Amino acid sequence: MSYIGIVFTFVFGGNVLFRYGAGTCSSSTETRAGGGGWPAFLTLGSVSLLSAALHSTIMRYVLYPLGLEALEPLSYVLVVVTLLYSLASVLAAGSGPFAEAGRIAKEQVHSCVVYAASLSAARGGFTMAEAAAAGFAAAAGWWCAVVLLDRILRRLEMEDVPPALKGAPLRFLSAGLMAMAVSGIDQILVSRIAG
Amino acid sequence: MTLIADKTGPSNPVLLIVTGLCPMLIPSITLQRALILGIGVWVHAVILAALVPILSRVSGDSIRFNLSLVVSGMVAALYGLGIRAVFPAEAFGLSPFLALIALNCFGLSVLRGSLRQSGLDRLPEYARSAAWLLLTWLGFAALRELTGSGILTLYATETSRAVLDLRSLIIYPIRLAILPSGAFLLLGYGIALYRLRAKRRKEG
Repeated sequence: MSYIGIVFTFVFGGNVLFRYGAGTCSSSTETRAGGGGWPAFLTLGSVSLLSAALHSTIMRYVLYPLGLEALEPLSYVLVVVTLLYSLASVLAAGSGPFAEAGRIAKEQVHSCVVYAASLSAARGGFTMAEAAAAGFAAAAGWWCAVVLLDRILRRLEMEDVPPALKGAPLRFLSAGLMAMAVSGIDQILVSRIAG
Repeated sequence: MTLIADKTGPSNPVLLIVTGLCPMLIPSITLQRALILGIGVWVHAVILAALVPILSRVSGDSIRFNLSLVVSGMVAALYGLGIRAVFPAEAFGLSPFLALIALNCFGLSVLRGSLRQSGLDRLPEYARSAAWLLLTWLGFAALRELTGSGILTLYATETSRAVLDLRSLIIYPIRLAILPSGAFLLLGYGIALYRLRAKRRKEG
């Protein structure tokens, strides 16, 4: 699958919000990070890129050949989370924009969005570079979906919506309709179009 | 946990369930799948609430959180191994989602809450919350399966299958209900109905 195909798949049909429901809730750390603008987006993209690359390499070269794929959560926490959390802590201890990025990354390392992106990328049979692209695309796709959902909800606040539907119900209904719209763009369709 | 409880109120299981476990609600398209994932989340929460306070007493501040995450990953991995042994076909279908038991907002809230405890004071509270989640989860999955396919899978392995067939009653199942988009729509309407019911009770 080409890189364009991977990006399209993970932004649309394989979107972690619509496929896994990751980061849908308003209490999730990812949603709070969603208000952080470009620095938070770039940090999420970088964390997701690194974790997807690392996790799929471990899965491809260690766990799958040994038949130990059930140990996936343990290996993810032991290797990926520990490594990236340490890296984020080092960055956060510094000063300037990298320190802020480090602080945001420490929150995002163990978020379900990054985890779902890594799990999804590890199942694609990708090389390390392809998995990294998939991880970044998954984070970007999630970000776009969350921003779009927020915009839709803001517009709906101006409409005469029944009180029972305000807030979380509208968020889920909008997510459902968006999921329906993008679900047709799956890996098979994209690989036929983009190669 | 405190964050979730503060935002939604402890008596609102439907809202509790959607604020923290969304990644595992989506694949719960059969009652059996919901049981597998729901029991996993319950077991995970209870083990974390029991072990993490002990860990936090014996480990240093710098490694406490990461050590607790390792315990979380280990519990999820062991549960995944158990499911693979008993229900290999279901485990194959649920493979990315079984792994998500280790890291989700609910599990992390239990973990963070337990890290602040020195004893097992909050264990019953966490067990109760997780049990509420499990019950609501099962109801939601049963509704999805019934409306989406007209049957209710009670037990299924590669060789035997026990289902409650209601296709004579539900002649035109709404297939959308078993898709991820259907899960979002059902959740949205479910919360709205719950709010309406709560409002009427309050007024009555």
